[in-house]
Amino acid sequence: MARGGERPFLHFEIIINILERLPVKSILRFRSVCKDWNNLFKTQSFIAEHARHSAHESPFLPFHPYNYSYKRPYNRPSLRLLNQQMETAEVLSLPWKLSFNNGWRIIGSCNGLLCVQDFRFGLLCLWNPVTREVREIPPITNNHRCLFISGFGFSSIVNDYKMVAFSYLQKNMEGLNYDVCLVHVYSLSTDSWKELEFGAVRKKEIIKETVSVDGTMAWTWIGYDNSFDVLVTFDIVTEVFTSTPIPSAVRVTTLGAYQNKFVLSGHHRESHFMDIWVIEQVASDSGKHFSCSEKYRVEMPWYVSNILCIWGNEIVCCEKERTGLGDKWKFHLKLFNLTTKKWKDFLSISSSHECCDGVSYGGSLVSLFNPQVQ
Amino acid sequence: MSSSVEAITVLSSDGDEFKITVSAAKLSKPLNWMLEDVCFSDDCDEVPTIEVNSKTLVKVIEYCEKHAPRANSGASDSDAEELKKWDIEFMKMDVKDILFHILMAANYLHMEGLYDLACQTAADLMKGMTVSQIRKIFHIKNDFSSEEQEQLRRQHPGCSFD
Repeated sequence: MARGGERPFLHFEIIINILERLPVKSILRFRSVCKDWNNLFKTQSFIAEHARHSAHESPFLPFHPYNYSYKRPYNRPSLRLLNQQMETAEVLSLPWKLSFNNGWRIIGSCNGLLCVQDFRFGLLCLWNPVTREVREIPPITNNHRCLFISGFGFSSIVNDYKMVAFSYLQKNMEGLNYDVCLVHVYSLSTDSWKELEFGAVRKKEIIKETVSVDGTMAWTWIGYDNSFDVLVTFDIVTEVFTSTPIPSAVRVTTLGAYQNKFVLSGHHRESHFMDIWVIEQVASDSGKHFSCSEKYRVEMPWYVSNILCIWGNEIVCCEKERTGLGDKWKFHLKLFNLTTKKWKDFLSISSSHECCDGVSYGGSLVSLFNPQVQ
Repeated sequence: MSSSVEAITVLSSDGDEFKITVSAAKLSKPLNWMLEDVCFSDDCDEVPTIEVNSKTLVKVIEYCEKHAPRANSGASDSDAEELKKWDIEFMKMDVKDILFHILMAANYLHMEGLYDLACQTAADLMKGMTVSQIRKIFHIKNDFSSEEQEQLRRQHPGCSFD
């Protein structure tokens, strides 16, 4: 221990523990402090510890202009990050590699990586907005069916990121046959796609939403022909699909993740209540399955019509207001806090040009070319 | 240890005597070990030395006394909220002056709560600093050669060495 009043030299171990608690932006700035620090910031253990600390911070809600390009083709697409104080924390322009001028969407977000897809060409990329790394995902070869990439997740057990793609048969020019005919899974560690068995998802209908927690991806599948909505989950380690029925009294509108569990929320039919379920994973003899464990019923303000997504502790709802003749709308976002069970006005968006893909995002140092997080 | 003991006396590295209650001392593993040691039995008058200077030890003991009731019995959410506010006030100190000493003391005394708090406080103070301010605080020399600096600037446009 140092004695006296002079400032002590800290052990490198203590310095590391401080640096792990810095925001990503500061860390990137401090890589030029010295060689030791620059090397430290690239190590797997530091990146993982840093991610563990920032997991407690509230995530951002990303918004992006929707199909803007028909009017302004050279306008580079951007991403707006909102924080919980209702401020725009940052506007990120997409790297030139992601010049998605014809519209794009965020398929999923985990550990600070975004899985993004271009509408027109179907180009699929992983993007770390903070480090500005972009990695193009190879296309699935020999696939002539209609492809719908629909899931991105991570498992800390196998330390790998995976994507799931469902393919549908295109029957004719008018539309798709909604039966899934092929399922592929991509693994970042092998950088390749492979075809999967898909027992549980055969004959399931339209995929509505996707979200992932550590180890599992999930989708809500909307039934037609009087079949019920189901929650389909995919185990990232074993690559097995499971299907769980959703209570039929409610029309599910949102699937989200809350405290590393799946959460379903939906409008109660013909009333102004929102029902919220927490989905618990249960281990049984026949493997893992899921069940609805907790349920809240919340009265919604009469003017709120739409549940957008779950963002940290908040359920983001949307109220639509007509501001003039024709197609001019204004959107007001309202937040319902799952901890305090209170409503809060959040933000108004003046046009329908901004689009929220319903994902939460928190920055990380995770590298796309050496992506293990332990 | 005798059950009649309610407070123990320790010496700082500067040789000053400090009293710390038994329940507060339990927040630190090494202090806890000392408690179980013969040193504090009634017939022993040897005072153990804690290798922390007086100025720092005052703060560490203040933290222990404040956190001991909650650590020993558990507390309600409102208590936790109050304690959080107290922590923020407690940590309003100059990095150069005492925070680094607190960090080292918390590390040496195995006090997880105080160590976390001090690390986070240091990180919050550092996050807006420039590269040269950081080097000054941690006594770090810029050891990049001019070629290496050029390379880092090419890889990361906008990267500053000052």
